Formats: sequence, structure tokens, C-alpha cells
Amino acid sequence: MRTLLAVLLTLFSTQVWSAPIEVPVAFIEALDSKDTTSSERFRKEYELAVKYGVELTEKEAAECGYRIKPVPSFYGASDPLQAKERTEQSVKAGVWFVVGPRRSNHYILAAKGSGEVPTVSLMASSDEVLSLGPKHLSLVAPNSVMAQVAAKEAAAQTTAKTNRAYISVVREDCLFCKGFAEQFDAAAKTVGLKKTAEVFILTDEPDLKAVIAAIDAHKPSFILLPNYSIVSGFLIEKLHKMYPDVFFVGGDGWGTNFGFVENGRDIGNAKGFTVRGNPPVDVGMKSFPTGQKLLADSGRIPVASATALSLIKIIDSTKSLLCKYQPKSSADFANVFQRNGKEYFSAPWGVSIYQLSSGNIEYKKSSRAL
Amino acid sequence: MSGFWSKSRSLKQLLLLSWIAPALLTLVASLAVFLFLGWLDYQNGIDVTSVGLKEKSKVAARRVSAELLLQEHGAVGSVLQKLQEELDLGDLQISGDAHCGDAGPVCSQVLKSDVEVARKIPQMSPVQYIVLRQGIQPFQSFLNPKFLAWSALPVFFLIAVGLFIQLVFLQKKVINPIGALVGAGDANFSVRDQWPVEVRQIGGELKASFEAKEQAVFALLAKGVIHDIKTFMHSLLIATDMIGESADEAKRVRRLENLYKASKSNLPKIKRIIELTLDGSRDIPIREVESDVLATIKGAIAANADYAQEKAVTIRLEGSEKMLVTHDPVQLERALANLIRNGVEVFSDRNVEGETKREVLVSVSEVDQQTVSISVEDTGSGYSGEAEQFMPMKSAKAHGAGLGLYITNKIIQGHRGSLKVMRSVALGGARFCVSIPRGGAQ
Repeated sequence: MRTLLAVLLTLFSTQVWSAPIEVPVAFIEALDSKDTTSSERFRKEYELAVKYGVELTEKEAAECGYRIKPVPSFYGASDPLQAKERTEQSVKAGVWFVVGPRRSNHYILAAKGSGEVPTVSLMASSDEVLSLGPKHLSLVAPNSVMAQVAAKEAAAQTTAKTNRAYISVVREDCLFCKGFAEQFDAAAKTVGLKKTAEVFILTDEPDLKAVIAAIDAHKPSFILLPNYSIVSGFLIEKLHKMYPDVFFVGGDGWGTNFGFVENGRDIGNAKGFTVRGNPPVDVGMKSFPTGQKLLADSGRIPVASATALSLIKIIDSTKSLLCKYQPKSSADFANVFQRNGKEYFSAPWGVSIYQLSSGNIEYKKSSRAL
Repeated sequence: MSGFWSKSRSLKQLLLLSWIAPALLTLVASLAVFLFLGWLDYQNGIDVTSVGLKEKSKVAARRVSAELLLQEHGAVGSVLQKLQEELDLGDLQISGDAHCGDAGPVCSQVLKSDVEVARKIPQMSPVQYIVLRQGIQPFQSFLNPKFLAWSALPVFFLIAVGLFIQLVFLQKKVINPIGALVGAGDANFSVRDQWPVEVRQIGGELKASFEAKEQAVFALLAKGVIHDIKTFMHSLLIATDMIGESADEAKRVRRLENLYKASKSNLPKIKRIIELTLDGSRDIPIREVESDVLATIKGAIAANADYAQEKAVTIRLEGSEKMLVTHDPVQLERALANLIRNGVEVFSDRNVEGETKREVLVSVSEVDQQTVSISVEDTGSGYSGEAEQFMPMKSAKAHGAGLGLYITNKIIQGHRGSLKVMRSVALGGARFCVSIPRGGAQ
């Protein structure tokens, strides 16, 4: 009896009477409101998403004995070195975990300044992230993985065609674009696709002579356009009119319909697809408990961007990690993260495929079951 | 060069030359100020460039640091090129040492035509520097010609104004007074208080000089006077001696009669000579009253009537209307009488063959409302010179010391008048022209 009482007393005191462990989490992002007015809007959305994520997980985290304390730090996008400096400052201040930034090069710099503290990027997709080690992860699959998925999908969607050839049209001054193209080329070979020509362009509305010549010469089954939305929209509009049957394949740069519509592109019923690291927000929210709860509470998605989806997912995963493994200190947390972080933070949605159909970019599927 | 300075020049030329030196100095000073201001501007331009470059180096160093940390092969080169274009730099490179050798985070130095800034790249170990270079505009581009014009123009304007003022001042205060002094023929001029001290001193010395000269002239005239007196006294002495020698009563009576005649003839002359000499050595008081100058002239003519009759000379008066003039009737009659006597004395004691007529014409007229002119002209041998102010010792009298004309001139000057001598156009001889103010000397 006494033993039982002592055990109950110990349990009660540790579980109920002990204050929750405060888990400071740094949120570092290039969203200095001095940059542009759109940065001000994105920043407010970012802060709102963090607030929702913390509020929605607060109770569960408290029940586990934790309180997630967000420590935001915003800097100017034109000075990427601040990503490292802000991370160093946050680590010095005692954070257990660093979230962000989104951009690959910013995130890599932040990771270099984190020391032993683990970090997660919302959507860094550069393959260099893989080389940072298990303490540094991204919610989005790396470009190489996205390129593999894209190549497989391209092979699948152009199976009926006898010509397995493709040409690529790449913006020469876009490092991401060139990187994705290289990754795609490597993956394409493994699925029996063959690149027959490569055209480099330099402006948002380039001269199409070389492209037309390549299409006429090689009659490709698809054209790889691993460029951002503005130039991709221009190329699709122009080339589709000349070659109605041509299929277009994009990297994670086409963006959303917003990018195409904004520029008034009339892409008609051009066919193609693009790959992305995130599913649509509603699909993504439904894939994890906090997201489901947000949808249930609000009846709609109050924060509609991929960034918000990623933030809420990370907070949800942090809560889950804390509750499961009960680290008592930042060092503990780092160890737990190193061993188990991938399960929670590494490309949880796999690679999503978006189809180009009737002038819209519509979600088709993800490479991982959601 | 010595010839340049020794050459005779007008006062205006000298003044101009005296202003050339300060003008040239001012031009040099303006040029020096202009260049100095340009140099200050140039230095300021360098400072501004240096400060701007330091700011740019901050941005560049951080961007390069980020690229080096990312270790993207080849990306650093393209980033440097992009930064060079973006920041509008002459040159941008990464170096292991700061070229300006400073131990601080940033340093700068000015090269021939560039400013160079080196800044430590943050987060780098070992330390690396980013070195930026930007060209600076040449010194001459900071020399705005407008500033030269603006700085020199007011100075030259001031010099011109100063020169003009100086010329006007000198004209009024120096040249005009000197002209007045030069125009004075004798010591009868006044030195004005408003003249510059130096000019007043010169005037005082000139006055003293004239007075000394007059004294010298008077001394010379006095010498002649003594000679004349001696001559008259000699005839009296002889006549007196002859009375003493004569034993015969009848001869003695005759010799006494001769002494009487000689005394009667010579003593008045001696008396006159002494009186004239005394008058020449002292001021002649002029007591002016407003009276008819025609009456005065008639008095002078009457005083010479007997003498003229002796010489068979006609004295004619032109002018019959009463003319009121403020003058000293006694002294002016004396002066005019002397002139008329001189006109009569010009003729020889007996008629010369071919001589036309012997006439002295006295005329009076109004020059203007303030001035009266009295003219005494004769039909004598004439006056060969140009019309001029009477000067002592220039008398054309056949004999005598010329003291009479000297006294006459003194009397006329006492009336604030003038005596001129010229050739008589009407009569062919000499003409003496007296001008006196109608209102008197006061």
C-alpha cells in the first residue's frame, strides 16, 4: 500500500505538479518587412500559421509535459549571411530546434550556424541538403528525387508514343533550373528516355528560333521546361500554338495557376505536368492530425499557402516527437532528432504531381500515400 | 626695364599702373582660391567615393561570405561579376591580405585615379578580404569655370570702382589745386583749407617764393630808383655848388634862379619816386566806395593833360554814361593815370618823320553785369607779344624803373581785378586792359 502510494505520489508530482518543459523553437526566415509589401503580407501569414500551429498543439504538448515556445527571427532576403548569423544567435539563446529558412542556400547557411541544434527547412530542395547530415532535414524532397519522379511520370505519360526523345529548354542564368535539368537527364536515362537537344535561353521572352529548329529536327515526345513560371508560361503559350501535340514537363518552378494567370498567358489546352514538394494545402492538412483539427475547427483553411502548411506540419511533428521520446534537454532532443527525425520531418508528402490541363495546374497525386 | 619706369607719364597713366599690380595679385589670389576650392571639392569627392565604397564593401563582403560558405564551385566568380555590375564597381576581387595594411575590419587608400577599399569577409577562417576599387573623377573635372568667373568678377569690379574713385579724388583734390597754383602769377592767391596737406604746403611755399621774387623784383626796381634819385640829386648839387663859387651878385642871382628851376623840376620827381618806392614796398590800402568810375577816369586823364600837351599827344575818352562801380577812386585814378602817362611817354619828345598821329585812347565798357573793363591804348610802336597778364619787369617803357606799372598792378590786384597787356588792334600800339569787379574786392 505504501509502495503504491509512493508510486502514485511520484507519478502525480512529476506528471501534474512539474511545470511543462519549455521548448524554444527558432523560426528563421527571409521575411524582413522592409524588403517589399508582399514580404509584409507573407510575414503576417507566416506568423499566423505559427500561432495556429502552437495553439492547436498546446494542449497535447502540455499533457506530454512540454510547451513549445516560438522564437521568430526575420531578416532581409538580400543578405543571406544573416541566415547563419540569426541561427547562431538563436542557438546561443538556447533554442532546441531551428525551423527554416525556405530557400535552399539560406537553409544551408543556417545549418552551418546551428552547431549541434537540429534544423528543418520548410521547402529547401537542393541536393546539398542531403549532405548536411541527419540533423538537418527538409519537408520537401530534394531535386534529385523530384527529378526521378518527374522522369518516371514523363515515361509513364508518354508511353503511348514511340518516340522516347525529349528536348530541354533551360534558362541559363537559373542555377536551380540547370540543376533540375541535369538531375532529370540522369533519371531519364534509367527509364529509357533520351535527350536529343538542349537549348539555353537568357530572357523571360526569348527568341524561339533555336527551340523551333530543335523541335522540327527531333520531333520530341515532350519538352522539359525546368524554369520558373514566367518564362515557362511564355514558352508553353507560344509553342503550344505552333505544336499543339507537344507535351511539357516542368520542375518545381511552375508555381500555381497564379503564376500563369497573372501574366495573362493563354495556354489553351496544352498538355503536361510539373512536380512539386508539397501537395495542395487542403490535401496536405488532411494528412496529419493538427491539420485535420484546423480544418475541423475553422471549416475552411485560414492560412492557404504551402508555407503555412509546412509550418503547421513541423509544429505538429515537433509535438509528436517530444511526446513520444520525452527528451529532457536540448541535447536530448538533438539526439532524438538525429535518430528519429527523418520519420517526422523528411519529405512527409513525397513528391506531388500536378497536371497541366485546360489551362490549369491541378493536383494529380503524390508519390507517397497521404 | 629702367627706361620703362623713368619714362614721363601722365598722372592717369601712373594711377593705372599702380592699380595693375594689385589687379595682377588679385587675379593670382583668385586663381589660387579657385584651385584650392577645386582641390577641396576633389578631396570631398574622394571622401564621398570612399564612404560609398565602404558601404558597398559591406554588402559585397557579406554576399561573398555566403557564397564561400555554400562552397558552390564557380559560383563565387559569377557572384563577384554580378556584384561588380550591381554595385557599379571598377574592380572586385578576393584577397588574402588587405592592400591598405590596416588591422581593422575595413580600410581604404587612394591610388592614382582610384579609391580602394578592403574589408574582412565575415565568418571566414583564415581571414580573407574583399577588395573593391572605384575610379575617381580627375581633379580638373572639379574645376568649374563658373566659379572662377564669379570669384574674379566682383574683385575686378571693385578694382575698377576704386580706380575711378581715386581718379576723381585726385582730379579734385590734387590736379585742380595744382592748376590753381600754377595759374597764380604772383603771391596774391589763397591756399584753401580743403586742399590736401601736401598741396597746401606746396601752395604756402609757392606763395613765399612769389613774395621773395616780388621782393627781389622790388629790390631790383629800387636799385633803379636810387640811380634816378642820384641823377636828380646830382644836378641839384651842381647848381648849389655853383652859387657858392660865384662872387658876382648878378651871377649869383642867376645861379639861384637856376637852382630854383632845378629844384622845382627835380624835387617833385624825387618825391614821386620816393612815394612810388614806398608804395611798392608796402600794401596799398584800398578804400572802396560805390562811385562813378567815369569820373575817376576823367581825373586820371586830367592828371596827364599838361604832360600830354607837352608831348603833343591827344588823350581821347570813349564812354560818356555814368557807371557806378565799387572802387577806390583815389588809387584807381592813380593807377589809370600811370597807364595814361605810360601811353604818352611812349612817344618821343619830337615828332618822328612818318609818324601818323599821337593818340591815347581810354575806353570803358561792361564785360558783363559783374565786371567792368577799362582800356588804355596808344598809337605807339606797339606790343609784340601775345595778350598776357602783366608781369613785373616786362614794362616796355623807354625809361624809368617800371615801378609805376608795378604799383598800378598792385592797385588793380587790390581791387581783385586784372591787368593785361596786348597789341591794340584799333590804334596799332600797346593796349593795357584793366578788369575790375563791379561789386568791389569784397
